[in-house]
Amino acid sequence: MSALLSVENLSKTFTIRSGLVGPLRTLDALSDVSLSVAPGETLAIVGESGCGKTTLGRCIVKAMPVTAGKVTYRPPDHAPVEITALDNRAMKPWRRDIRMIFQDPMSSLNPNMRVFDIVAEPLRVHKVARGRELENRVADVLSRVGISPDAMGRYPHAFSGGQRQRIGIARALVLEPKLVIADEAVSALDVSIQAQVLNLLEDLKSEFGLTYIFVSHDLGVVNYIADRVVVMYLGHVVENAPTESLFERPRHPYTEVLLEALPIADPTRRNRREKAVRGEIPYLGNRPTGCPFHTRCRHAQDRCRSEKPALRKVGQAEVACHFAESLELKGAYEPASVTPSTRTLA
Amino acid sequence: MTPQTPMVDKPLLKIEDVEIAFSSPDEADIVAVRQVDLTLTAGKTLCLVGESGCGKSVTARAVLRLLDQNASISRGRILFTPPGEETVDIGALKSDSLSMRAIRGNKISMIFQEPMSSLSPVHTIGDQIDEMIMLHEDLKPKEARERTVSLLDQVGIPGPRERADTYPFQLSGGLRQRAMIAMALACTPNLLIADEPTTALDVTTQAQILDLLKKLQDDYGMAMLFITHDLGVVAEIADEVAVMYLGDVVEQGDVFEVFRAPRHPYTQALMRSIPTMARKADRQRLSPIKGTVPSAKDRPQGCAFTSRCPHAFEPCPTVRPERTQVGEGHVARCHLLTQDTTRAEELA
Ligand SMILES: Nc1ncnc2c1ncn2[C@@H]1O[C@H](COP(=O)(O)OP(=O)(O)OP(=O)(O)O)[C@@H](O)[C@H]1O
Ligand SMILES: Nc1ncnc2c1ncn2[C@@H]1O[C@H](COP(=O)(O)OP(=O)(O)OP(=O)(O)O)[C@@H](O)[C@H]1O
Ligand code: SF4
Ligand SMILES: [Mg+2]
Ligand SMILES: [Mg+2]
Repeated sequence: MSALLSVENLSKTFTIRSGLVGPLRTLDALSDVSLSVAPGETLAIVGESGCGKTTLGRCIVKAMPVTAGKVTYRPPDHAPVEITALDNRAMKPWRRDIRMIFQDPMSSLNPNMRVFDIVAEPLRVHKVARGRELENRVADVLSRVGISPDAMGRYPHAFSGGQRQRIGIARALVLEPKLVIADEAVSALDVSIQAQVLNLLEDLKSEFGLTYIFVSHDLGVVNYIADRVVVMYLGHVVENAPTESLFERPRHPYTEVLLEALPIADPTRRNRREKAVRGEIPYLGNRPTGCPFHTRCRHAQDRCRSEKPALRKVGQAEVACHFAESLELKGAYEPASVTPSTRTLA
Repeated sequence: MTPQTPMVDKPLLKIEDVEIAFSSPDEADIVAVRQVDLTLTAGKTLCLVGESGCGKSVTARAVLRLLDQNASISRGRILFTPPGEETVDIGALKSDSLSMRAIRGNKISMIFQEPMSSLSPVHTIGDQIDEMIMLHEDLKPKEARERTVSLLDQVGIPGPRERADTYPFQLSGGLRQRAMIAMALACTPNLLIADEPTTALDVTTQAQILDLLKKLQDDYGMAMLFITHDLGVVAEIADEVAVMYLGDVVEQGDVFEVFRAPRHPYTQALMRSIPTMARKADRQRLSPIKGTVPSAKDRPQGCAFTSRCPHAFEPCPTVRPERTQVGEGHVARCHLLTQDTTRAEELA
């Protein structure tokens, strides 16, 4: 099946000043990123803080221009649209289909608007509903994310962090989009409300065939919700694989490190991290030569320091590591009998 | 030899029956926190968990008297006993009083979820930490800077002397959070309150920060009140856990006990909602708690969890359950634990 959305060779470079008056320098937030998401698929994007996940999402929804590369959207009953080539006006109808849930709810919700208006705004902008119908739709979507419609008259500051995050989710879902880019959409939620929101996302997927690009650093959630996972490091895609194969047998050393750092909700298994995560993430402004991960990789050899590995097919995955075929890396699943899921409570 | 009276170890922090209300011009008062009891032992980590909006951040801010203007502590005491000192009731102090300022940032300090909101964007991190040190201690700028550099080094910031001259926006999320921790530790506090300090960080950075906090805790012997909704993080670092629901603390106990045998129906339900690391074939639909959290004004008079509890019975909607000892240092508030011995088995 052809992809609903594809991203080809996308790069994004920021120009920044170091210090308040220092010289200008460039920072490559995304380097030659390619990926695609099939209709009805949930694609997760994981990776270190600062590796470019949000930038990728913002480029897809055209919240910022790309430096190079293209993004193509294929609506079900319309010819393919090259989003990156559209101007703002031509983009407007597609903004209804492609919505982003922004990572930081505090800065993405207008502090001077009441919650009702925040959620109603997209319906008004796209002239989808008004009057009674508008009120009902807003109240309905808010209660589906677990915010009592009684609170619709309040301003964002009078909500807790997690409540604000859900207001952002409601705002993205109210238009019944086709593709939702959820940027850390459940990260500030406690597990029960998180479960409720994840179930809601799954239900919308089966009801309306929604497609998700799901950015998250919570690998437990990713394992639960995603069909496929893209792992990013310093603006590069280093691994792209079906969820189960990635968690069973990661192919990139960075993926292994991520899986190992995952905290497990069982105090009797604490201190299981044998090999401490080494080093700091290099500053993007001085990206290492060769493999971007070599400064922290336990398997790095001379070749890694000079030659950049290309993304290539290994088993079910696409991997960018010189030794992907030969490395035996550790996954996250436990042998069947001791998974925490079999722990029964009360 | 001076005769030594046996010291009864007072907990470092004891929050007793605290209620916090918000007033608002166009709504009735909101009782965001109704009944919080918490005990924190010196040198230990207490994790505070609970559903989004249940009052964790508000409780934490109350301990530092950093609540919004329209909030008031309408009942209860916040007893703080620094080692070797008299007990003070923080709840009774004025938030801008001299005694409160001597505690805040000095004996008790706090790190927030989003370091950007508590670091000033226009000052270097070094200047901000120097200032914090000089506010509480009589040091010259040069001496303060030396301390700052060694703090930055301790929290694992490479090149601390140069990094002290950078602005927050020039640091990655992980380094920024480390700088925040260095600032919070500037005056070697007895208690560090950490409100979701790793929620914005990826797992590898999170693991590094947790290891760092554990190490610093050993070095300084400080206690931590650690707010998180990530039960994986709790399992990793807590000595004790307290569970909040809709403004009430419903359970507190040793972390191993609470995970092994949670006794409050809300805690049990919470544990069941964790997505597990299972293969697709073994994966089950998550079972969130039925229904939605009522707003504070619709909170049942009795147990706050009544409207969603699968075990609720006669007394629950109207009578507030007592704090009941359910194990060594493990308490919970649920009628099933006291009222009806036959039904108590449901929670065993
Ligand atoms: N507007 C901007 N100007 C300059 N640099 C930027 C801008 N936006 C992002 N960056 C930089 O680009 C890089 C990627 O940022 P991005 O927000 O996409 O990361 P992320 O993967 O979403 O991280 P996190 O997990 O912390 O949200 C970072 O180094 C960031 O500092
Ligand atoms: N200024 C305010 N005015 C009115 N209500 C408020 C105000 N600040 C907070 N609240 C309410 O107090 C309750 C507790 O908020 P708090 O921030 O403590 O939640 P929390 O437990 O930290 O949640 P989260 O996990 O989502 O951060 C929330 O229901 C919130 O709506
Ligand atoms: S290419 Fe080399 S440095 Fe990069 S991940 Fe593979 S082994 Fe490690
Ligand atoms: Mg981001
Ligand atoms: Mg909070």
